[in-house]
Amino acid sequence: MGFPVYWMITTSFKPKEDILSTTPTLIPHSFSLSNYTQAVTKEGFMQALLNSLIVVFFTVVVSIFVALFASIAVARMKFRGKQIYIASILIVQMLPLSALLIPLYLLLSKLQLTDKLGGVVLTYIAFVLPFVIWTLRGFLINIPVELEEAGLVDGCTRPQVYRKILFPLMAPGLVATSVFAFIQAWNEFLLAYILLSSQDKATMPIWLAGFTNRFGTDWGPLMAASTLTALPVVIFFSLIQNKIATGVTAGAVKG
Amino acid sequence: MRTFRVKSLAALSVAALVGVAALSGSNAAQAENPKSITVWLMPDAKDFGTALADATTSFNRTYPNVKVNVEFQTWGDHLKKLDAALVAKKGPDVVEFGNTEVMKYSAAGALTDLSGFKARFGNSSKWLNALTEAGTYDGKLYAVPYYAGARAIMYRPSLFKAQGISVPKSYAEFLAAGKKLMAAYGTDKDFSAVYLPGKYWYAAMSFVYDEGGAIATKSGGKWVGSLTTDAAIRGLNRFKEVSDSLSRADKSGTEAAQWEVFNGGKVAMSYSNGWESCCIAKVGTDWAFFPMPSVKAGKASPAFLGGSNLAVPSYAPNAALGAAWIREFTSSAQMTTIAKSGAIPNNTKMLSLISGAAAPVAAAAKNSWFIPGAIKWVDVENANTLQTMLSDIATGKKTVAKAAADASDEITKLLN
Amino acid sequence: MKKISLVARTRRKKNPWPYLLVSPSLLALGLILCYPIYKLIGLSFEKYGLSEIIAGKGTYVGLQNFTETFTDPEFWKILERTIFFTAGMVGVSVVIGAWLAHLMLNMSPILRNILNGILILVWAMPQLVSISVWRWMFSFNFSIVTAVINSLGFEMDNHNYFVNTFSGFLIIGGCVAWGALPFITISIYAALTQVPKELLEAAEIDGANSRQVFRTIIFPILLPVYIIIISLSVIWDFQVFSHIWIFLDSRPSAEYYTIAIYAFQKSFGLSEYGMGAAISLIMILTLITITGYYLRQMMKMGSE
Repeated sequence: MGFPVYWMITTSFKPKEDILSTTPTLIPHSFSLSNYTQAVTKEGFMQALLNSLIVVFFTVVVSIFVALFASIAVARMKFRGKQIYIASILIVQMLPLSALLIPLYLLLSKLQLTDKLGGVVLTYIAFVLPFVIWTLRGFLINIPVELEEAGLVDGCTRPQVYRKILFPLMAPGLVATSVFAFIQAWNEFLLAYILLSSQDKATMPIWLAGFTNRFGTDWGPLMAASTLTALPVVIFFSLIQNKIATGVTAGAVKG
Repeated sequence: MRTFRVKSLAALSVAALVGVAALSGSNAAQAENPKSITVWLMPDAKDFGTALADATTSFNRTYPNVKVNVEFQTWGDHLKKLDAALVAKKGPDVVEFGNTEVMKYSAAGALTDLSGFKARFGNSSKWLNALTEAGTYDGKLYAVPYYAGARAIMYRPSLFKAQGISVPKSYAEFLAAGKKLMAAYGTDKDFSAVYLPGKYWYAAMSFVYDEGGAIATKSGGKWVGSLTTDAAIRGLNRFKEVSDSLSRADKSGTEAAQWEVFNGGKVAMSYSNGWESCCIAKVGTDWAFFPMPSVKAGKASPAFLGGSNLAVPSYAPNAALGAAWIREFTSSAQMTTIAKSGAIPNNTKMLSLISGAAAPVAAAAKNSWFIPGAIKWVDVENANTLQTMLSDIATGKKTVAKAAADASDEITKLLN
Repeated sequence: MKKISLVARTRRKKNPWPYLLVSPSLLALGLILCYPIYKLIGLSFEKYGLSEIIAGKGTYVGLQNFTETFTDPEFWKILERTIFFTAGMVGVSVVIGAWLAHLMLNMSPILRNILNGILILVWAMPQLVSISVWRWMFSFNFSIVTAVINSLGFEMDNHNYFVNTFSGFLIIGGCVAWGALPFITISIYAALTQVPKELLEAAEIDGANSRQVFRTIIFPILLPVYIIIISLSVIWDFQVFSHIWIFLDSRPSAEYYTIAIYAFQKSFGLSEYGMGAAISLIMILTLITITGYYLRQMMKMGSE
């Protein structure tokens, strides 16, 4: 299962000559940090890192918030147009990105949002939302309404019911979807590449693409760079995993 | 009418260029007062020493208030990005194209006609044929030659010395040398005297062109696949001969990263680009080049010339400045720097600047072949017609005659 | 019994809440996607290539793009191939994902965290990198798989795993399924943790066997999550493009065409965006048909 990850990490520590060998070795003999230094000193690393963090932060926060509200409506309430809304959520996910590239660019160009991180954030939100709404709905349905009603009866206001009862119970769903949103925004290449132009607006995937030129790919530094880009995701996951886990045990299910 | 619009757009942009150029001399910037120009290049430009920086410095001497924004693109997706910009009627001012992909854009009217300026681009009378052909459409110049990549045989001198082989000067000698190497080292399953993957059409078609054949020819305004001519069949037979007796490479594989295999030490010769020598550290300095010899003794076989051209899109906000920047970047001074960094410059005069081990590669650039100048050539590449034909031949799935006939028919169909 | 909240039941007539809650999402989606979708539909009825881009407008060709596609004999073969390929990937990834999730439930916390960590790392790997590593594992000259087979005693020459399309699709599909596992496993595991322990204990005390427990307690809770996962997997796997593209060196032969590759070759590769739009719409309609009936059923079950 984890073999490709293992391979990526061990390759990142191999010196150049060892990487390209007709007898691939499972356990590296020599250990070298040269790939990492090459990766980190490659032009644009810090800027790309910063840009990606900004894009990801706004994408995740806004989409989770918006999706949370929407999924409550969809999971709990009846309203006219609900079926259509759900159908749209699903259909939007069937749109192939390559087909929408040019119209999207045209739209953002008219809105003066090309070559701006904000344009990228908006687009990512739009693409991530349907998925997050759909997934959170699934988790919400499993939470008995009686709990909410009990809370209301106890005198809580609606928002309090959500905050103290619903959200902690939705925690696992929130974790899965926010990690998903994070990864989407963190690793997405094509849209970012088309919508952004200036070098100082590049995100991490665009920076990563620079390891490939007409010669082919510079594997060592690319693996090192990829390992580095995978780290924030792991950090993010462990952060929210812990925070929410404590939330669950604290706001315990009272039966 | 559409064609009228396209032609008039091209004409208008030429007029604009002429207008601004007429004013140009020392202070054209004042006339339009733009603040910056945008240049789209591939990351390869970073390998050319100071050429890029010097070009901009020189450009700024004539246009002091114009900032040059260089934005690096990726080979896989840059055309999508260009299309998006063209739809939005925005454009960069300069775009780098691969030489096999630019004709489509010239034919569609997406590029500014630079014919009027040809004389002002450095060394334009000595430009390499393949790059010039690629950048010309309907007799007009749309894309300026930038740099090229040629192929020659990269070999291991130590193995040659051990077997008492000298550099072959004809195809016959080449074949004999290969057979001798296979006899000596071929018991190792991984060893290839000549590493020739089945789908390596740049190499395989060289055999066809060496015999005087061609992939397609134009007759009576129509393009016709010409792989069934005697010359072409002879060439394809040679390809099969080398693949069968001298190569253990994947008969259905491509030449992608073939230097990795060379680096593994079990290859005596490979038909390689000049830059492939950069990455074979493991075999150390045991490598050198010689031009692939022709069937005609004492001559070299034509080799495929890859490379890039620079163009100014029709919607460029600052077409004149874009052209001026291209002139700076392809000037003799910058070309010299580019040549010194190992790439092949855009003209024959400077080929001699490439010295040492890479010199045979530069010599190969003088004698090259290029893809048929059909607008729809891209369709043939996308349909993988040549690759399929070659791998069918190499694996023995089809006879040479049948494979060539099928491919020719498909090419005729696709190009018209 | 319909699960309608107390509040909603009493204020159903003029309840503004649903609309308020839904409006931000509608705003975001509408703003970004309305215009492109509208353009997409328009484009599908036009010839819109490079010349048209330069001229600034497309040429109306009515249904020509659609008829051209539907009368192309290759198209139907490709569609069939895509459906089988998708079904394979979805089946394998969901089954293995479910198995892993159950495994995780019964693991010690340390092991679980390690597996979680591996899953996250796999999920976080940039797609280009994971595909490249897989490619490497099955390359002609450097394959570790070939090396392992040889070391196990089976004499095997350097082998091109992609000449045979079945073996090729198996590997490519395997890579896609592998990449999909983290999300599937983590989601199913998350759903499993939502099963209240008390219910399980009560059932055990009552003497229910594991099959009954599964059917009456676990399954109803997992169902919504399975609906999500399967529907999303179908939608995503149907559109798989980069994997096939990169595995085959950007030069897939005709036997490897899936509908996404076909769309690319016939349109975006040639800058023919009108045709591309038409094929994309066909793809979407196909997906809606495939998932529509299935989803309706599941949703009826899910909301009892």
